[in-house]
Amino acid sequence: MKITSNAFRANSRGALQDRNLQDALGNLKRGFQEKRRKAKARLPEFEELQDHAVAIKEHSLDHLDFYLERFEKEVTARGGKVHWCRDGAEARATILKLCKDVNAKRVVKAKSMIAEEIAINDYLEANGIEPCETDLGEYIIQLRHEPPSHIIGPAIHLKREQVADTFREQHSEFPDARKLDAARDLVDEARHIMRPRFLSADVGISGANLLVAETGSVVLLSNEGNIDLSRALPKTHIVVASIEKIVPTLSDANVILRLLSRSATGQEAAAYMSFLTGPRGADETDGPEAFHVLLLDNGRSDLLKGEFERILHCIRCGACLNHCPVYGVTGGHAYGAVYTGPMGAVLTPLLEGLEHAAPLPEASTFCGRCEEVCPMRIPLVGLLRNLRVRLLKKKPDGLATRRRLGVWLFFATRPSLYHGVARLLLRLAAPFGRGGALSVGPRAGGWGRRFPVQGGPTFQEMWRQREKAKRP
Amino acid sequence: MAPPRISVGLFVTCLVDLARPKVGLAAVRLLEAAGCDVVVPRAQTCCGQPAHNAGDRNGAAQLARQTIAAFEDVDYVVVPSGSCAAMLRRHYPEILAADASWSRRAKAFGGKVFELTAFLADVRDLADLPERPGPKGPRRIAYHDSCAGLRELGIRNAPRRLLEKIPDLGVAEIAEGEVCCGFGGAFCVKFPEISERLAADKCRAAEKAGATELAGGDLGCLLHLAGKLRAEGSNLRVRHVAEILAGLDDGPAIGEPVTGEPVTGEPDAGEKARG
Amino acid sequence: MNARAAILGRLRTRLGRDTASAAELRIMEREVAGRLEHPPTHPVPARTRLGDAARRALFVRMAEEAKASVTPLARAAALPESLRIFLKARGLDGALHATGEAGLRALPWAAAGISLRHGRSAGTPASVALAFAGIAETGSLLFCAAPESPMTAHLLCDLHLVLLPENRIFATVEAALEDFQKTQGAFMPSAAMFVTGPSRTADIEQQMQLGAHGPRELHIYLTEEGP
Repeated sequence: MKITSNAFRANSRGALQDRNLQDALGNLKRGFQEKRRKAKARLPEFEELQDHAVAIKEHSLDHLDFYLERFEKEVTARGGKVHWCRDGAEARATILKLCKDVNAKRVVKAKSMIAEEIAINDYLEANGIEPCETDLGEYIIQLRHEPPSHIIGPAIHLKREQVADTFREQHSEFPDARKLDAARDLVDEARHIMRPRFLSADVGISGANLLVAETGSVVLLSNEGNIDLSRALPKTHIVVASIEKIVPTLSDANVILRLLSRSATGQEAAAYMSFLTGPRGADETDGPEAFHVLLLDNGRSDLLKGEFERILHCIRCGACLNHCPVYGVTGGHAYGAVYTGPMGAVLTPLLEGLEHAAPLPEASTFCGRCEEVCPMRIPLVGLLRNLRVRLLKKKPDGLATRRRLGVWLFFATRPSLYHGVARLLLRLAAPFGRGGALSVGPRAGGWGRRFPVQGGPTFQEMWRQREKAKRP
Repeated sequence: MAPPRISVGLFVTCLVDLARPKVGLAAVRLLEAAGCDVVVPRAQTCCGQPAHNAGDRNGAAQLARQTIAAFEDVDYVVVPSGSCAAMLRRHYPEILAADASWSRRAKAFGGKVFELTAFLADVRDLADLPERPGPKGPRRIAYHDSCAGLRELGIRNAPRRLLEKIPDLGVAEIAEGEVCCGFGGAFCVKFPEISERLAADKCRAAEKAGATELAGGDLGCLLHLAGKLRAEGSNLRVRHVAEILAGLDDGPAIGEPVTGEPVTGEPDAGEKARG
Repeated sequence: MNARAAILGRLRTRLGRDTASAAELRIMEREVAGRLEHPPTHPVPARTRLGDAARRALFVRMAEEAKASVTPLARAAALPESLRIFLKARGLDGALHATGEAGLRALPWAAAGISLRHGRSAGTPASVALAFAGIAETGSLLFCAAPESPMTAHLLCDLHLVLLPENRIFATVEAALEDFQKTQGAFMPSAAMFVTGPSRTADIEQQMQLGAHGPRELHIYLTEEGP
């Protein structure tokens, strides 16, 4: 997608005015937060599993070269093929070639953030191949030509009525008068539309929740069953995975999997959890005849062993989005990028360049709820702060802030001067402060924010007087 | 038996110093009641959060060193703010980690820093609050947990335990109390619309809690919320928890005019005063 | 340079492999190989460490929580008759798509007036299948791709009817996969699918709807005596 993160301020203003979006976000917060809390409470080992999960990721990243090669070896031994891709362009070209090799007309796609990252749909469409999103949420936004607004629920920003309107508009094969007011009707209609597409697709494309080096397995979670259908039916299956998805063994994978669904949707387990290992075996009657795995770097290797490495621990559960106060009122689209919310505010500037996503690191109150709920204990606030360090050094974005900080710091590091100036300022402010408040800040907001300052003596001044009075 | 007297350095915080000195007086009154000899080093200014959170590592480090040096002679450093206390306690050691000798000092310093209510309740186990000249009679106070105090220092029970020592005072819980009020330091200036919306949500939740007062331990959040409540003409009165605990809660609440009756629905009072 | 070499090269530089000695690299490789052979012990939820009866009960509770139904049967041989009644109640004729395990085929289907179809499915009102295993921790069923067990059998039906012998209930996913490795001689099937309840979606206003693309209903028949 074309990234519009630099328009975050304008985007978020629009989002705050969007009634439908605000209603939808209200549902989101209540649903996901409560479910996650309950699921975590039911698993006393949750925090212990977190410790192990972090250690597994650290170890995997420390030995990423070894494990990727081992994974490749296992996939190959099982008759699959691994394709290494440096960036989105290479990944797109690889996928297109694989599709063309089998003369593909139609591709069924399971929801995948990486597929969004490399914008594969537009590319396939431009090359005469029909990409069919099969996850209901992803299908809805494909019809509406929108990017996903949430990792787990791509259409979480929409209300039922909006989905119904979209279906009426685009599913011309159904009678106009049909009933579409319940979620059930919409789900059934999508199921009806999708079934023949699954059956007729030439290629299935999915992402990967994890890659297991030991066995060459790709782990995928879904609730709808669409991922497994996109594997079982087409003759070719293509997995697009970024390189940091690797874990050494099945036992390691299970540690992370125990945290993933609980953190994402609050489920004990997703309805479908599949370990896919190579193409269909001899005499098997379904499953892909060709099994491809794309290992995509696209900027990940640059993060290894650097101050942002911990973002490579992200397992895309969406918990940080679900608990972020900012995301909770702006929704995902305001971020103007594939990855949204706190993890997106870290990852987008790193993948796309800080100059293309400058507002995102600042769009956080640093309330810390994201890192509190992150199953991988990613220090999101610290990472955002590191990005702010870079932002401050960058001209021209940081220049104004640098100047302001410079002036303030000049006084703040000279206590005597500081206290003198503070005293003076408050004296001057006193007549205004009697009303209880002063407007502060350049444009302290359209709501006439008043920062209540009373004026009069500072505390330091009062304290000095008291000490003086005590002295004989 | 009261624990032996100890020396406590009060880290005033720049907001208390400038915007609500009364909180400092209240903190001193409470600390003295808890058997502390209070000093207020003059060499303190700001904890450095504005620099730290803007990505200015040098600026933050300068202020960290200044603050640590100013408080080296006291047994404890007490701060009437969760976010400044977290800055001193948790972030100074990170900020100064690269310099071996300062790193040691920062760690030792961090270990003696406490947020005011946590210090009173957990370290001093304060039995009796100071004499209360303030209002008597039943009151219900909604308590706003500030994010830094709550998540970086784990402060939740301490202020409630202390408040409940006041006869006839009940603490009302704000629904979704762990959600940020939208202040966020520079955030509220950079993203005023989002900040306002979060403030509005918090104000609604606080009003629904069925209280007439809103208290908290962080002046940043409280000024932000008081500003919003005043702009809306709400009746909810906002005070720092220290004012209430110290019994210095008879004067105007945060954002109210210095003289006169409690404000109801005069959003433009500040404007008028200026004009 | 091809992409593979470029990516691995970049990773090795970032990981400091180029400054490591050959001996150090050998040690590291041995360590990694050792860890693959003997992965560290990870915590397993205590609630899964149970005796047979309690494990069975946990499976039932979790499966039902995931909106599957669980029907106990004394003998697997009782399944066809039980399904005949079920299908009749649903207004379905006696034809069922089925996985092809010998144990399942050998049940008295004809006596119950049910005819079975096997192989790849292209969509069917009802499928009957033999699960490879059940998982007590989550109430999941494990299906492993095999000539007699095509995955479409478990996905392209509205009613998913599954036979699970009680002695095939394992505590965890790990335990079930370990059993597969031990008994089937293969390390992993081409697809190992853990199914927890019917397919579902909450993509519209967070309202859970069963029957997204896969089965609308999942009925588990738990037998004391396996096929």
